[in-house]
Amino acid sequence: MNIKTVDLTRIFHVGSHSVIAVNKVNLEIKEASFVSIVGPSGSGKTTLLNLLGLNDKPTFGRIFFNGKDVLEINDKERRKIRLFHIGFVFQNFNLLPTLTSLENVELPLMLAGKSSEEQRETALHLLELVGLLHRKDHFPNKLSMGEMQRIAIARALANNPKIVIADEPTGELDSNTGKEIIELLYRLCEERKVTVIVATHDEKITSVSDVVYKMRDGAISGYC
Amino acid sequence: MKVVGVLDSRISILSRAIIMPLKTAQKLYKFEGLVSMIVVEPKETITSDDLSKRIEEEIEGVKALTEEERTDIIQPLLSELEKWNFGITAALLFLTMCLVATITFMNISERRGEFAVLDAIGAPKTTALRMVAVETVIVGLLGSSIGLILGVIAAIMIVSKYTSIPMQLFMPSLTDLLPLSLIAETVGLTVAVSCLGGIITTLIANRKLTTEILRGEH
Repeated sequence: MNIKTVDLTRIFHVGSHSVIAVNKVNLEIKEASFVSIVGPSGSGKTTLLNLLGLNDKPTFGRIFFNGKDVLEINDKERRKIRLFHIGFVFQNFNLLPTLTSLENVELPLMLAGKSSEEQRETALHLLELVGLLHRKDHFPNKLSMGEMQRIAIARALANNPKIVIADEPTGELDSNTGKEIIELLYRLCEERKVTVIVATHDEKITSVSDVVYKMRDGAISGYC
Repeated sequence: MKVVGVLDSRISILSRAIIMPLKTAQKLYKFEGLVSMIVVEPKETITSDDLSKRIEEEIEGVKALTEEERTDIIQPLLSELEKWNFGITAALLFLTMCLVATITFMNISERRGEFAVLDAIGAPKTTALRMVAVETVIVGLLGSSIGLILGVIAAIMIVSKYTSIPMQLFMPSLTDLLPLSLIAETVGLTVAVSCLGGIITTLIANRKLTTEILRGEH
């Protein structure tokens, strides 16, 4: 899925102050590309990802998915896009603590209305893909950080999305586990033709990226 | 007679009365082994008023009351008791509702992260509300039912301990102590408050930006 943003701006109002978290960002991301967004903390990477993932609405600007302005559609349609076309991997995983690994992966499938057999089959396949089939019955508090991140990636892939957005996916992981996650994301992009957008500080991720956007003070300061 | 205790009560019915076991009263008033009350029905040829007067004239030391006179004496006491009973029940019910609402509020507040995740992965807006509604109905039903059962058992145990009435004597009149209408009201109110508290809290929680909540979750 091609993604294009035009003057994407997000302003937060904190009391009497206004903070421009994302400032007139113009991006073009091609289908099945691996894109990294780098920048110091507070540069607006996470806010930009939330806007691209339709978790947040911009104050100004436009977002186009395959040429269609996704801000003109209603909330219900945006939710459908989030459910079926976007997989979001959070920095702090955000797995549901009361569900097992398998159930966490099954959740988006259930919300998508898949049958219980299909939910189970797909979730098991995804757990196998991320190498955690043996941990299917474990609750998140019994998993390591790396395992939780891999479960979060499996959940993000549940409905076979066209875009995977990952916010600092290696931020809380040791270097070996981080490397495994990068390889996994790269494999998704290569084999499944998924567009991967990653906010990161990790140079290992930027080295495998097709495009690296640099952010500073909410704006894109350059790319390579 | 040996004084075994003094009751300082704010309830006017008790402040005007002496309560003692029947046997002690009969002994005290030298009516040992005698009955404490005789109920008589007047023949058609005489009114109850005349009959009570005749009884009092002919039998020394006997107080005869007609049905109306007895009701006149007892009714104010019963009314007062009823008011107290209603007041205590209402206060307990209100406290229960507050407790249920607070627990529901705390539970939902702790689960804002869960709802934010559901929102972020594209769950319909009603998913969290439906989850909360179903959960609060189940919790309300279970909580109020268990509460009622334990409450009745505790009440019977306390009353039995302080009145020396064996617990099994309360069993035949359990439906009088706990009528179906009271059960329905208590369960219905608890479920309604629990459900309403949950839904309102969820709506408030949903107003906060998903992105803000998720950023704060660790």
